[in-house]
Amino acid sequence: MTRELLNDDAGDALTDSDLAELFAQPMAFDDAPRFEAKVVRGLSMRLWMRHWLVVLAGFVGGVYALAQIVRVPNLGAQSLRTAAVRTDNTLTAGMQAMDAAGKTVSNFTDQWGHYLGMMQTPTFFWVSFSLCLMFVGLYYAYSQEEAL
Amino acid sequence: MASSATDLTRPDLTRSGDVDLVRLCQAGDRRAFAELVRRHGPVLRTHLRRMGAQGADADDMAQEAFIAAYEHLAEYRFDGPFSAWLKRIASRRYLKKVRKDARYVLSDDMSAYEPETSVDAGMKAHNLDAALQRLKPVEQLCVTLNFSGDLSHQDIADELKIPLGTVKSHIRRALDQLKSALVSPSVNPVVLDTGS
Repeated sequence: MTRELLNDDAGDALTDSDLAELFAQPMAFDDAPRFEAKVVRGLSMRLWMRHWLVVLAGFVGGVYALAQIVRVPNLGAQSLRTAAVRTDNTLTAGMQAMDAAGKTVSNFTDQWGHYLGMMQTPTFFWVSFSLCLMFVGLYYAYSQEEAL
Repeated sequence: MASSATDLTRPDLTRSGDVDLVRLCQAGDRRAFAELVRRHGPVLRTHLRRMGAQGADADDMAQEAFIAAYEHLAEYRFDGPFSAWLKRIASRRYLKKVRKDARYVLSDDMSAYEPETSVDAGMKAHNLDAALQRLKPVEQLCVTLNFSGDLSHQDIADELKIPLGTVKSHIRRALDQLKSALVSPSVNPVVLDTGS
């Protein structure tokens, strides 16, 4: 193992290059593995949050877009009932179950119908558009803050 | 068995150079990033502490600097040591924080930081970090940015938004104090292990 004296003219004042060598020596950290794990975990968490934020934004955007174009369908089971005519009892039972489910969905959408109507108003559009612009502005400001 | 087979196909990243690790990181290899953190973590944490950041804050800033580096790896030009690039990122982050508290850190009032006339034996034993703690914060900052962060005097003046002459005088004064505090004692020459 090779060893070398940092300052072999012991007793003399340090030179700038001696100081530079001292600055190049890092401290010893007992918790180095813990710090490494913390950094990697922090990065994973940030990437995960960003990923799911994009997914959530896509979902909200998709729902909003659908709200602009979709009308609540009449999920009455007339067509299903017609389709079930002249079929065996098992299929009829299945159709009845689907009828019940369809009615539940229909009731649910009826309850939310006025919200959907509100989402299709110009006021809602401009409010949401302004919010989107604000988020884009905040994102830009954040990216500037994060710039190297 | 499967994991050992996988380990065999994976390269030993501890033997890879920083450039290779950075390229692997750019390809999305988190193991390469972990290796970079393992390799440069102590350097970055030391650099921040020597600039004046306190323990937990220094570690948080080092973590932020690593994550920022990972997210901006495309901006690394491979034109210098990776550790220098990391230090520059960490320095800028610390300086942003410092500017918010500029009245304390960038103060010219020396009264609270007059160096002690008597230097104890422990200080004489090349304890750079203890000697740095005795400097005025702005001197500690300037000398560390210059010697550890490899920033020029002009770069430091630009980053701190103070005159170039002031930076030079801070560094000169800091060096004088460090040299006086760290005079190598003849009874205890410092030996460094080169590890080879």
